[in-house]
Amino acid sequence: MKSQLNLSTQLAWPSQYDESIVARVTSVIDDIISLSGQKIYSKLSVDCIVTHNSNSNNNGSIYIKEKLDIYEGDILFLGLKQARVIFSVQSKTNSIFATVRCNSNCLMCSQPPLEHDDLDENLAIWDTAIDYMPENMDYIGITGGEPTILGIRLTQLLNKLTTKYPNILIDILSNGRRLSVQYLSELHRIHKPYNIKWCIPIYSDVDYIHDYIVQGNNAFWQTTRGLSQVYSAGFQSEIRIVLHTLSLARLEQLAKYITLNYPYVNHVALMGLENIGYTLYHNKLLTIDNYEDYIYKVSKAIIILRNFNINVSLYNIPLCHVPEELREYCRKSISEWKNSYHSDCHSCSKINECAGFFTWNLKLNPIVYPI
Amino acid sequence: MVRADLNIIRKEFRAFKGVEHYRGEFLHLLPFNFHRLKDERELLTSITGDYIIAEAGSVDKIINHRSTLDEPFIHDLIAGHFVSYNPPAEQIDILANRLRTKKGLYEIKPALHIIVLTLRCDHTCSYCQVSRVTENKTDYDLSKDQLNLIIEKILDSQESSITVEFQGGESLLAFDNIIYTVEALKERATVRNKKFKFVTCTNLSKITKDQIAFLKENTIAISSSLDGPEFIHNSIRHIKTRDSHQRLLSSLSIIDEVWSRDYVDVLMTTSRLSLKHPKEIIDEYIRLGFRSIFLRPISPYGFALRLESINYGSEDFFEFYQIGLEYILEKCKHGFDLREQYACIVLKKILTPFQDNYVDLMSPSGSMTRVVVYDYDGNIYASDEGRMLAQNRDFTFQIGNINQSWKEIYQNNSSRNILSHSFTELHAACSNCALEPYCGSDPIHHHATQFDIYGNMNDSTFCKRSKFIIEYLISLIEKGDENSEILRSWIH
Amino acid sequence: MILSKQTYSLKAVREALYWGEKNSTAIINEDSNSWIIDFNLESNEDTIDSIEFNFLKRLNDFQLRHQINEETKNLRQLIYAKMLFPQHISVQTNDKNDDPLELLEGK
Repeated sequence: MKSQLNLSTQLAWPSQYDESIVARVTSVIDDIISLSGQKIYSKLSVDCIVTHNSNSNNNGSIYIKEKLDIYEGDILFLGLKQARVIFSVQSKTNSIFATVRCNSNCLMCSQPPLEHDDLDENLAIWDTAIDYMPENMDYIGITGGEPTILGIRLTQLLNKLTTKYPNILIDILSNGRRLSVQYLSELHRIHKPYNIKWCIPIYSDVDYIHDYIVQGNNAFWQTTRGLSQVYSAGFQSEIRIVLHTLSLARLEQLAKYITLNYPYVNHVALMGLENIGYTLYHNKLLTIDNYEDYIYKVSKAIIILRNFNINVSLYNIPLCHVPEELREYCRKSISEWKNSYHSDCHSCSKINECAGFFTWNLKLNPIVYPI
Repeated sequence: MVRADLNIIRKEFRAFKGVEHYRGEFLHLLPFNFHRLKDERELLTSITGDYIIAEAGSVDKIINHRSTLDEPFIHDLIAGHFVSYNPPAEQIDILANRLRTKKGLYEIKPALHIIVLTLRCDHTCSYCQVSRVTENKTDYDLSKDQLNLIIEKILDSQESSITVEFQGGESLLAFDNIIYTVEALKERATVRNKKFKFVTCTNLSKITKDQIAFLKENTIAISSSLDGPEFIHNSIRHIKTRDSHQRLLSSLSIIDEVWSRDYVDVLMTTSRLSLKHPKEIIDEYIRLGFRSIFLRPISPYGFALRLESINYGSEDFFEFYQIGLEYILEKCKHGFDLREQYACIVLKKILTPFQDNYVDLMSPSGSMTRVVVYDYDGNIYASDEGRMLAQNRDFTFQIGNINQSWKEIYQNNSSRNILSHSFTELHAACSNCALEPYCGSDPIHHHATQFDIYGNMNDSTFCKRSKFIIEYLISLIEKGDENSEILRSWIH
Repeated sequence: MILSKQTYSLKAVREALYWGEKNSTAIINEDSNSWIIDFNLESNEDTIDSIEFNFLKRLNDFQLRHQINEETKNLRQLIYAKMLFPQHISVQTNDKNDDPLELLEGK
């Protein structure tokens, strides 16, 4: 399974490489991967070779113990201790990873935050990587952690993207808490807001329940003010709701709340829970066990939103886990690198349209009903 | 050292806290009001126009015994902007946005400009306060010079998206002036940064293919009248040949042939006879392929009160409305596509955060702020009803004439008088009414019926009707049955 | 009818009277502790009892509205002011959302 994020590898790093490198794969022949790139801070050009063959160490090539799935056009990050594929030319859902830092601490966070100041490094990595991205690109995501912590660096990356790709759609996954104050002046320095969609979670129509779910004081009102700013500044917006017992309890009321208070939102995404990160720790609290109730509430919420002409999607939910009338809302939403199917799925006629599972969710032994 | 500090901070920050940590101590009230329903339950409305129905005694608990409230109810109250554990300051921007979405900008910016091209008409409807049949064209038609001034006034007005509505009398009798005005406005639209929509009001007793061709080419919608099946329609719409209904049908079939029914809208006048036959009227609308019907009572002004045939009380209208709406909902259940307009307008106010453009139910009142009427003699009125009052020599709602600038017009005493009586927010009774977010101000109605532009709501048929409709529609919505679903689908 | 000034505000009394039945009139007097209201019937459609009963119901409701208004009138004015003049009014809100590293720096 190809990994886009770090799977740390034993890297034998020749002495002439003193700085991290971002490079594009120019060819893959047997064990030899040729790359052309730059050092991320000094921006000096570098051509290099990566190999899985420990014997080629003498030629100045970089030895990586683990075999990675790599294709021509992919972009690699070669740090001083680790290598990772940061852009997959075969994938339709690449993401720029902004930072490990976050100012919230959601009970179900699938990417638990770390207190590591990686802002400058990430800017350097992605500023370089964008130059090596293909000539055409329709879509890219920005994730983390919380991207707005990047501040001015985020603006820089966004403007670089929209300049290089005038028709791109950029999804930014953000808690939105800084958009009305700390990041506000930056918001107005972002070019082409129409190309950018802020994907912001709201988990309850009751402010303190949302605050509890995201473990942030006053998060709800900060986020609400943020969404409002994003709308007035001409950006697209999406509200994301991860489905678990706490958000399911008042899901219909939340749908109604959205129609009254965020009627301008372009899209609402109801998302299946990812069984990783903090979710594992809060398993008992979060796991939905009443299937009928879950489907009933989801259906009701969809009807309420659709009645107001708000677009809705179901993300991360296999087709056989919802009744037929809801399947039109399901999307193939799981990033390739963490997407898997149950062994029984291979007899299903709809496998190509189905989101399948998060790789780690298969550990829960879900039952599938091939269509 | 720094590392150790970070660990302490991180540990505290990343420790999971229970829900009690995020819920404040004190439950603040946000501005709200309540209306006592007939069964003693309480209809609460917040400043945003959200509503909740609660059992009797709830408001007292919310104000005086907050600790006895149960949690699910508190959650609904929080979501509806009635109460908050967080300091209310956090929500002020958002509440102000909601309020602004509902109320619009407080500006005088008429989007509907009505031009009374002529008073000539081939009908002599008994209730009609304004038309006259006459040969003498010059006395009762707008001249070209006057039209030119009106065109200038339209181009000078603040609003950029304007609907121009041609009225009369019978507007088609002055068809060359329709052509003239439409062409002049279209020509100058781009330069003056205006977008125009056109409508012409006609009884459709006589429309030629050429006229339809012009209307079609310039996308001029038709607003006509259908009061019901022949026996009702003809009892209200009087023409010498006594075949108003038949003529309407003929015209409609020509329009079907040459253009499309999509551009024809019909309104009804409700008479005493109409009140006895709601289902027949609705059946006629369906039979003739109309998808929208507006069940509303006649304006009970001077003229109307003197005529037996159209003089009826509120209770009679309410009964008519209930039978009518329920019949329409039945029809919808059987697959017919018909909506009742009055319900659509009020439901939009109740169920969405938006305002509606219906000028008779707004605060500030739509008269003058959203509509302006240029009469056949060059005088300007705050609304159509205001023009009708002038026929009885009551010029309270005449705000100027076409020789004046907008500034002169809006700053004179008439305009100030009208505007100062146009706000429910400033009215002693309305400002403290829970239904205010769903209602509006109608100074003309109160001036005409009570001779008091301020209006006494205890005695007001406008207030009575508004309360009835709101309570009735909410009761239908709350049932949560198929009717509710149908009504909810009407808000878009 | 004698109403305690402690319990009922004049505003509530007036509003309750405003919505009264058309066939009755009322005269308000007061002493230091109470409002004193005398109802008179103009016709036989109602009885004094039912008029007073309905009046008291309305009065209680208006007194509740008065209480809400007393507690929220400043907020209401502020919301209207912000609606009408968004650029001129700035409301202090709690926008703190530092992450641990920022909290550390802040120290």
